[in-house]
Amino acid sequence: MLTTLIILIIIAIPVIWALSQNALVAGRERVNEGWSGITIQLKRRHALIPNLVQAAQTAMTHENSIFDKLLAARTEAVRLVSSGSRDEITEAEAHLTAALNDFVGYAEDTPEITANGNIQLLQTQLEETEDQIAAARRLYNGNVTAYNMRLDQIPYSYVAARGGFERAALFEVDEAEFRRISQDLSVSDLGLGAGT
Amino acid sequence: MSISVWDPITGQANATAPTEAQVTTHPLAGLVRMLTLPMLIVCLTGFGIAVFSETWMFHGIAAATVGFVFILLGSKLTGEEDNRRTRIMNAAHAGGHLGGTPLPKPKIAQLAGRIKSLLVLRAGASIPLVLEHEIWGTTRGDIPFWMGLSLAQSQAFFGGPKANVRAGPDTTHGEMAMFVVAYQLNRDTGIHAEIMPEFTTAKGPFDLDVKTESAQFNDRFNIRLREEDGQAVGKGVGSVALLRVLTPATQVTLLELSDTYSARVIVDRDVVFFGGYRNFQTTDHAALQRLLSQAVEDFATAATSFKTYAE
Repeated sequence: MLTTLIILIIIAIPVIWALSQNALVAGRERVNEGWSGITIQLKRRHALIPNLVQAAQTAMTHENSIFDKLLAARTEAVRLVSSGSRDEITEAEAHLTAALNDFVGYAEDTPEITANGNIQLLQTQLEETEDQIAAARRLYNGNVTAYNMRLDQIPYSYVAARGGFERAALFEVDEAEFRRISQDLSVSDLGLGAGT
Repeated sequence: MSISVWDPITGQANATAPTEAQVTTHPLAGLVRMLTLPMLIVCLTGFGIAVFSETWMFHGIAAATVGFVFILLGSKLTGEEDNRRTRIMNAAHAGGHLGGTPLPKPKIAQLAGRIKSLLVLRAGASIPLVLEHEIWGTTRGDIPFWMGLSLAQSQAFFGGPKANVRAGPDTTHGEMAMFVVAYQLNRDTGIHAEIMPEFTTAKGPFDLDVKTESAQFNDRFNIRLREEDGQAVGKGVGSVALLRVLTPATQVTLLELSDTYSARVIVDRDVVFFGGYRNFQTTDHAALQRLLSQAVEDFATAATSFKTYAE
């Protein structure tokens, strides 16, 4: 009886170990897939900015440093989204958000920009992209939370400690800031309502 | 006056504004409702006694018969069934929409053929959806919709806290609304897919449906792609097209609808069907109309998110 029990335990340990390892690998892959979903939307945001600047420049008779600042922040965000760490990407996106914020503030005070109809279309696309970023972030953070929780559970914690599984970081950006930009760019605020 | 409206089954239908009917209250209706649960207990207890006790067998049979007859005839004799149908018609006033007419039997059969998996009982969807009346209209965003609807009186605790919504003074009972809402998209999504509650047994190697990037969404929903004739397609075929339509925003919206209405979805190219139920803890038909209108708008948000990406 005791011998049978020992044999069962000897068989069970590697099986449980393998199942735990597989579950952790699957969880880590879900985190990576979630991150990939975020970067797709971030790239879409990056692609919209040159058009936004071009639409504004077309309407302007003179250059402005705000455009340069926005394009520089966008260039840095584009560079890092492909090769940077998640912390670097988060920081670059925060800078890009700040630059967009400055641009919006300037646009509100500049009738030549607000009168350009292309900005209305770009605003709609930007708003949709930011909704997608927010949703992708929620899904990614859900994956991260589930994965991190698993890392703390038995028997996964033993496998994780010996298998090099590290905790994943949440993607935390100031969503209120994203929303504010979207609202600031709204048609009514920019004077792009009917008849304009 | 009859107006031509979009219909997911017949293509076009003629609908008129619903007429509001008066719910008549039988003097014994309240008493019957109050005694239903005790009589059910009497019926079951009598059945148990009849089966297990030789001495009291005839008493048990008598008790079970009385309880059974009461439950069977109580609501008929007091007009409760007629009132239930009247309440459905009154609920069809939701948002000033059209219709509210009883669903014809041939159309019910057509629905069962086209969206069978939305209606049937399955793991993860604990209530089969029964549809008795239909409503047509447009959402606030001008999307044509059709709704099949039924109501059943329910106890307040039924469905658990997530499925309950209070909409007025405290009542011990309310209305369990079961519905299917279909929306016409102005673009072809290019896919036939079913997004149903996930089977509880779908774990590890038994979890074989299409996966998105969200663990939470995958745990909640079972995603299957279908051919034009309804046959399931092979693993991997068409998954990319489906995942392009299931954007992050769409997934988040469907998760929220799953929390609120136990939602399930069929995407049929340019038509999206949502099925769901919710226990509305009210007997006030004006409140019920508002809640059903809100359900139409809630599901329209998800329908629009499919459409937005297709555009």
